[in-house]
Amino acid sequence: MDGPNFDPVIGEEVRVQGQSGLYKIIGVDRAVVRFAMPGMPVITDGSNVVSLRREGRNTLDVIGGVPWTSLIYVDETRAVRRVIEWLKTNPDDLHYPENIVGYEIEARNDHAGNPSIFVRFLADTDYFYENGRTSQERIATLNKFTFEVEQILLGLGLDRWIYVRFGEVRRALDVAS
Amino acid sequence: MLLAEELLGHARFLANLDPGTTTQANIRRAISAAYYAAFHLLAAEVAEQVSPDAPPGLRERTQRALGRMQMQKVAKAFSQVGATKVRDLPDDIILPQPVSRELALIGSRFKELQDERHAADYDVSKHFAPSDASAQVQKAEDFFRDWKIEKSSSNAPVFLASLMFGRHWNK
Repeated sequence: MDGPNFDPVIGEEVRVQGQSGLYKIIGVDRAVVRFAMPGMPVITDGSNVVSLRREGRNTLDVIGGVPWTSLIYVDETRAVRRVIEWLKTNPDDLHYPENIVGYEIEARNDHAGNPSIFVRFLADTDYFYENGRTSQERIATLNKFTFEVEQILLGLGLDRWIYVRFGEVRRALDVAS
Repeated sequence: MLLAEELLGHARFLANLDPGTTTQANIRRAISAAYYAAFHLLAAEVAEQVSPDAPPGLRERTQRALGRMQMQKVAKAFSQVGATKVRDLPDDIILPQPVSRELALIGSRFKELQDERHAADYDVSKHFAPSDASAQVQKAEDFFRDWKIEKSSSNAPVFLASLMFGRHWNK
């Protein structure tokens, strides 16, 4: 199965290496493999570039042909979000628990001031309780899952600490109401 | 019984209270006790490794000298399964084997327990559910189980020494 998709998407906010200012992606071009033979160099048409519109006063300020590799994404949780979307497809050995109904991602400092990314998977309150008690088995399943997710996220090599947890979805609704 | 084990039992007792009638105080104390169980387990192991038990009180003083921030950094450094190098370990100290799943779990759980403990003790804007207490207590119980396996590994002495001396090693 394919890995996470980290390709740029129209609408994403980025900075460009060596350039000042904030840009929005308005077009994405991908290199297309035209000829591939075992042991031979791959021949492609086009290249992985984006078109950008500068954010701010002059919205007509557009630049094209910017390589994907020179983009710096404003959303620091982007890579984490992409990985979790990929996990929802149940890749390889990792089973995405069907009782998880959503997730939250937050970039902030942890209690000790370490820049961190917090991921919280949410399940319905009912899932956590059985016969009036918390279900140890279900909590164990989620604890195991969050550790596996953390391991995958650590593999991204981000500069931020990674915290992966789970919680009751009702809390999110309480906050919203 | 060791203090660490007492704290773990206390955390479990609080987490097992009836979810329908338990209080924020019980839940928060369960989360806090779960962390301190893990903390004192490691602290006692570090002290045993680096200090003799005589004269009386020496080992306990050693245990008291541990810093939670340093422990958190080391826990994080050892939290990736299969890592062969960990952050802040001097170049001349080679990990005898890649970080095992148990050691990575210990590292990961420690930093999780510590951060959650901080919120439970200080963040009054946060609401904790009974399942939050159960999750943290189960992490602490797993922590004890994993340490039982890991403590005889060749990485364990490096891990324990790092908890105590890590920030002074690269002077």
